[in-house]
Amino acid sequence: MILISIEKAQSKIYSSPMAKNLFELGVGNTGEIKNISGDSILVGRLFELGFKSGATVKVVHKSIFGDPIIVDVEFSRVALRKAEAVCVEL
Amino acid sequence: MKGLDVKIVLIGSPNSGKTTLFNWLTGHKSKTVNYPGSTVEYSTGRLLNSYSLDASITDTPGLYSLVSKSPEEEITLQVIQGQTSLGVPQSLVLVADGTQLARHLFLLKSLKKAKIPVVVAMTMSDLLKNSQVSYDLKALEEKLGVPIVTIDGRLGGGVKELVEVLRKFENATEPSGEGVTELKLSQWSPQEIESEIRALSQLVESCMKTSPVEAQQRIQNRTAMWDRVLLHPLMGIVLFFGIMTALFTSIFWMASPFMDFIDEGFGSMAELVSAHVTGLLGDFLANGIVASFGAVLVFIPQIFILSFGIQILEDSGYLARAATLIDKPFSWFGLNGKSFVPLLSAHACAVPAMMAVRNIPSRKERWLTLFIIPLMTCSARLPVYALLLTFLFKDKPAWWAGLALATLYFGGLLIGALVSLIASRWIQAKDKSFFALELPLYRAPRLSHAIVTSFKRTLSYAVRAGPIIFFLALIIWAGTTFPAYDIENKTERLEKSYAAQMGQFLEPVMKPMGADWRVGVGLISAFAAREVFVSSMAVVFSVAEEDESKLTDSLLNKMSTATNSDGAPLFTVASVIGIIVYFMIALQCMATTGTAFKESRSWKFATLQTVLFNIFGYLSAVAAFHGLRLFGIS
Repeated sequence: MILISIEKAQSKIYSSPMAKNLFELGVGNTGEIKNISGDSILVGRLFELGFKSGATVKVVHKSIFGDPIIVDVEFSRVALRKAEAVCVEL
Repeated sequence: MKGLDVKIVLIGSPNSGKTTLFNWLTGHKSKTVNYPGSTVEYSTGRLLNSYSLDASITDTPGLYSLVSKSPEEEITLQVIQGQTSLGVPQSLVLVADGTQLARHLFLLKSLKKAKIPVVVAMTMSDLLKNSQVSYDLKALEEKLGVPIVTIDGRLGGGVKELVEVLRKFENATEPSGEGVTELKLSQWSPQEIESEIRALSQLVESCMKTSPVEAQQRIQNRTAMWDRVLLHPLMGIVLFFGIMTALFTSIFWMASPFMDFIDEGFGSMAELVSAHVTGLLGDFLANGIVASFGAVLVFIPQIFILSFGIQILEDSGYLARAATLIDKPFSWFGLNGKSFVPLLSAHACAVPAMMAVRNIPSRKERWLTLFIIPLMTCSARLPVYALLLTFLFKDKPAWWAGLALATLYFGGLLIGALVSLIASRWIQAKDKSFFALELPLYRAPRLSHAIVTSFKRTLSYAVRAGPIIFFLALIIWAGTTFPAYDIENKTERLEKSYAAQMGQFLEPVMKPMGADWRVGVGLISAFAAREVFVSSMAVVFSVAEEDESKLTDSLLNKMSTATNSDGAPLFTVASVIGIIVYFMIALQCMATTGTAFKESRSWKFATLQTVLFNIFGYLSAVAAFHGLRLFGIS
């Protein structure tokens, strides 16, 4: 329980207050997933990759073109296009 | 029959280490076959004798869940349900990566419904050990209700224990496969999926002896370090091009001695045959059978080296990163980052490249990739380019031809991109384009696995493309030999042959691109395999040179003195560039057309592709020829 609360506190420190979704979060920032919405096949796929509400996500890299972004979620590292990252609400 | 043929089916997510486990169980002795009536491939083999359990093992395509409606999912369902010719499985092995346990166990709930005994094989135990992450396995087994065996894919630890569990299953109740109909999760709402995953994730974390946050950091530590370099916005791109350049250079440099060896080997074998067997039979054996075998086998080294390189990149975890880096630029042309690997393999041979298209999720992107694959510069074009570029630049320093060759490679890519861009406007997208790609942890690739896999892939090329190339080569031998087979002089025989008659018939078509019937014969014969162009040109222009290495030289001489019917030189800068342009674009390979049909499962697609690229290639050749003449280059 202590660890979880520390983690949450950290996420508050680093996350950009303006970010509404994962794409806006920016490299190096951490956030907590509030909701995942969009095309049902995509949402199912995001679940399979480890995205779920309440989980902590961190944007670790961004391609030179700004898209896709590379995200750490749970125990996995995932590359997401902009269109996919905006489905992850923070 | 019970106890004699225990059917074991391996199921698991991509990157779960399923193939590695399969290889440990079968000792690499397996065959890759298509599921009946489907393009989905699977491997099947027998459990090694040393385990003293007579069982067949079937691998299934890697999938995260049975939620999406992909062909792979359908097939896996059918296998579990016992609807394929494989029969009802006796036991299921769910292969789950120990570092991704919660996600990889998602399949378990559906599998348990099948009322077939399930065992979880937890792989990557070496990685867990190195990261000092461990589970309370007893508690985990209790909570999941299935036995768990930890597997070390590098050393094979735990495989024996897994077989023991399977042996116990053998004595359990006869599996019926009933209840499997409920397996289908398509009806699940996203909320249900999410809550299921959440429950699993809590369950797994509660059995973890390390705190989850710390475990995550330890497991990803090394990968994060590598990614800081390999996914760096600038450095990542530079390294990407560096790695790809290294891969390509190795295809040509490393393969060429082997290719020369095969080429010379078959050359001397043909000579040996014609020296001992006289007459038509000797000619058939030497120039028909032996030469066509050579045509099939000469590309084996290149295909092997390219598959090996791709396998090493794949196993190390880099290929997923490469696809990520290239995804954005590819999307401008209607493609997906996942199109990268097929297009990369297409530079060796279009046939295995087309087989790699299956991993692209969106149908539209899959078709676009399949469509432009033949435009990539495959290795069969190299001998042709080598001949024609040497002709163009024979008085120039060597780097002129090298630069021109690089331009041709780039040209193939550029035309492919443009065709894809135009075609993407025409094809209606029935499904959305997704990328969402898991980037696996970096691992040191295992050499033996890469060698065995690329060997199997090369073999599958030979088996698939071989008979078609062989058959067509025989037809061309017959076409260039008959009906005047009894004439000793090769040139005279050819002039009277069916191929020449067809070439002369085609002369009006050849004229606009500055060529004559002799080039026409070369182009027709190139439909067996593009490089056959060079050898038929040699026959057409009557190059009777015993020494192989001088063959090109004398062909070049003949080419520079060859004239049209009106006495003007036949091979000019403009006409040779015309032929090169045709080779760049035209789909002259029957094996490719056959594979395009198999992969698209549409004759319309395969025919359209072949006809369109030939017309496009021809028109471009004509345009290049006349365009150059307009600018005073004849």
